Amino acid sequence: MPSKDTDTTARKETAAVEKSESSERAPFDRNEKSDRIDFGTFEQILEMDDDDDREFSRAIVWGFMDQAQETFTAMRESIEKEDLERLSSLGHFLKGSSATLGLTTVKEYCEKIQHLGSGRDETGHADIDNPKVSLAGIKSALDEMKKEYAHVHRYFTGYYN
Amino acid sequence: MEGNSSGGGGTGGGSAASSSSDFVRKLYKMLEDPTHRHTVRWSDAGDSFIVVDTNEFTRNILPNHFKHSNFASFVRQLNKYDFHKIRNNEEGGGSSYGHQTWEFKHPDFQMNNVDNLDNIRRKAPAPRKQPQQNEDGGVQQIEELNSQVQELSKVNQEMTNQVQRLASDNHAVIQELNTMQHVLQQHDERVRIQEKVINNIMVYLQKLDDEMKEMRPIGGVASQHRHDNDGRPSAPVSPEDSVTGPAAGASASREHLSTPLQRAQMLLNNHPEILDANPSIGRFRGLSQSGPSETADYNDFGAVNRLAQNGQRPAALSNGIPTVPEDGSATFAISPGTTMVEPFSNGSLGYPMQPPHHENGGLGIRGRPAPSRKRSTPFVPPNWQTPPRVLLVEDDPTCARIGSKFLQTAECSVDMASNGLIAANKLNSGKYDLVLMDIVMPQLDGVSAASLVRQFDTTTPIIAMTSNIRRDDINMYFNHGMNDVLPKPFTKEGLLNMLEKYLSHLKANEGQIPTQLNFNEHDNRIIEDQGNIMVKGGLKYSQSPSKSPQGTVLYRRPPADAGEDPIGETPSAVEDTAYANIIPGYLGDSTAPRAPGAFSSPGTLSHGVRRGASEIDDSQQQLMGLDSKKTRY
Repeated sequence: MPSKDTDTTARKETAAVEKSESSERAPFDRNEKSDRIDFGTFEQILEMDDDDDREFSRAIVWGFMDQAQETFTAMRESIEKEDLERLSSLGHFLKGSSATLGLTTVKEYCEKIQHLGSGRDETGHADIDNPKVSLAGIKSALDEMKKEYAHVHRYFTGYYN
Repeated sequence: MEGNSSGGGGTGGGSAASSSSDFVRKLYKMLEDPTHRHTVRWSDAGDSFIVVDTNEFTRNILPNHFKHSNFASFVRQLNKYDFHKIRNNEEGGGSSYGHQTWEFKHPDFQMNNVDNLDNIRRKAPAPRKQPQQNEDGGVQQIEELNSQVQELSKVNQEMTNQVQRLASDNHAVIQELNTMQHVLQQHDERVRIQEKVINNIMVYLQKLDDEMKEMRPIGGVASQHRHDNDGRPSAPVSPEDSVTGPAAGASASREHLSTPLQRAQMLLNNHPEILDANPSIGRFRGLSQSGPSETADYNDFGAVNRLAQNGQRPAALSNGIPTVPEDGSATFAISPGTTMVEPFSNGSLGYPMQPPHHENGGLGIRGRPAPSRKRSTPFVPPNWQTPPRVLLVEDDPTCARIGSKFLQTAECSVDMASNGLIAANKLNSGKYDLVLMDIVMPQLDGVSAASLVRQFDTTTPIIAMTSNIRRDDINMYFNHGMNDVLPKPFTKEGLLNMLEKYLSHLKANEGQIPTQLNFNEHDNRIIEDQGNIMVKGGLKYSQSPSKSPQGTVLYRRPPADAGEDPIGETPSAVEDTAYANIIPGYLGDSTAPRAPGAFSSPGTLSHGVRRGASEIDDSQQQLMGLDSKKTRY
């Protein structure tokens, strides 16, 4: 299917990107992912699959991964431009879909970025007045998030093959 | 005399030898005699003869020619030979031959036609038998008629009997339905009472939780068997120390809880008595609806949930209970007016409600799934009469896809909009049964869109989908015309609840029938679900199979469910018209009862049904559709 081909291509690209970016590589262990991926939530989506071919969930997951990649890129740009507002909305945006898939750690980082981008601290409670501090926080959150994402990505790649 | 002599064997046509009888000849001869002209003569046409003066004829002519003086006999004789008397009266000019004249005619008895006389024969067979035959024929006919009448009577009787049988069957069925209605109502009652019981239990355990505030057992107590926890004393775990001590907290609380838990178990075990004894209204309803504390701020929520999450992770989602990553309480009706429960202010609902469930195996409650077993629960869509039209307003493609798929699996027809403006346009031009509205969107956000829509549409339910469920936000949603809040990321259960809540009027049977079968399961679900609310601080429900419709009663805010109880309404209404339609079909009776279709005869019954269908609601229409088929023989 065409979509699969492009997905495969995208996946490869993504994998390449991820390899170059992520420093650590955790062994592929499904159990270890339990904290990264909330299977209960993810299972809901799996349940929507009509058959074992898992077309639906696969499409969702791959769609998300594309979305994530785009978001990372956009975030990177926004950091360059020091556009906190955009960063916050990007964080919020990705938070929703990552949460829906049960990608807890990714979602958490998204949320942190969302808060930081709107001038609050990571928890969203206190305010941060210094944009530089916020920006720095976002940078590190983004890096962490990408690492987490790499794990998740690897997991899904394994799962769907 | 004459008949006898010429009768012989009565074989009219038999003897060819005596071709024409003596009688006929004599008759002819008589008529030829001119002296008799004044008494008897040919008619003017010559095709019949007339006895002008019967007295004279009888006195003089008969004896001369026929050797008797009996006019009646003469006439009889004529009849035997198939002469026909012509009534003079009927002829227009009256009797041109006089009043007392008798005119007789035979086709072969013509004035100047001697030869044809031979054709005049006696009517077959024997003269005497003929009248008898006629009589017999008459008798036979009468007998036949009689038997036919009897037959008809019998048939009539049978039909009447059948009608009676059908009528009594009818009654029986109606009574059955009534009985079932009652049974279902009773079940409703039972469920309601059980809900209350559970309310009490929750309240009870609340109090206990109060006592153990500082212990802060972290939500989602891991193991299925509390007894597995060793009795470590609980370290006061602050919300921030998330990761360390779920087990600790749980165990500590367990020590204190064991007694109340046992009591709770006892309470549960004593259901039957408690049912009767305990009428208290469910404060629990308020609890379930509020979930975790709303008192402070939903920011606490986030903290609590993170805590719960973190705490739960080591347990590896052991219960197969999905943690809602963020705010995830399942949907509950957070209305501005709902009183939230204070005791949960710290958000630490470490209450593992699950254990009681296990331990109460005796109640037939389904135990929690084994720790590492992923529970795959069948997604049973609600039983819609017509598929609800849902407008899903969501800008995030992933969420949109997932939401759409959920809705499709729930057999709704889904329309999408990627921002508030598109949504408002769609609502302006089309009709939807439900709107799921994301809040943060480009172009026009959800709240503004809702405001806009409410200017021309005040009825379509609009549900806010958002991860922001701070009280202020929620108030704002309501102030702008939204009906409810579905926290994101939403869960299957949360979504289903919303559907049940706002679309129950679209369900077939209003979901009453299946409950009886799923009764125990339903109990389990209530306990589990409500328990999970408590446990997780409002985290979402376990993945239980779709609720029996009565589960919705639990979460529906207005307590006046009885008023909406369709049992009393729809079935009987269906009854009346459906039966009204069945009857004529059954009987083929032309007296069709009055019905919305207003049909008058069985012939037009099916048409009448169709005509009337539009006036009848869907459920009745189905039945009527069936009936009309029946009547179309």
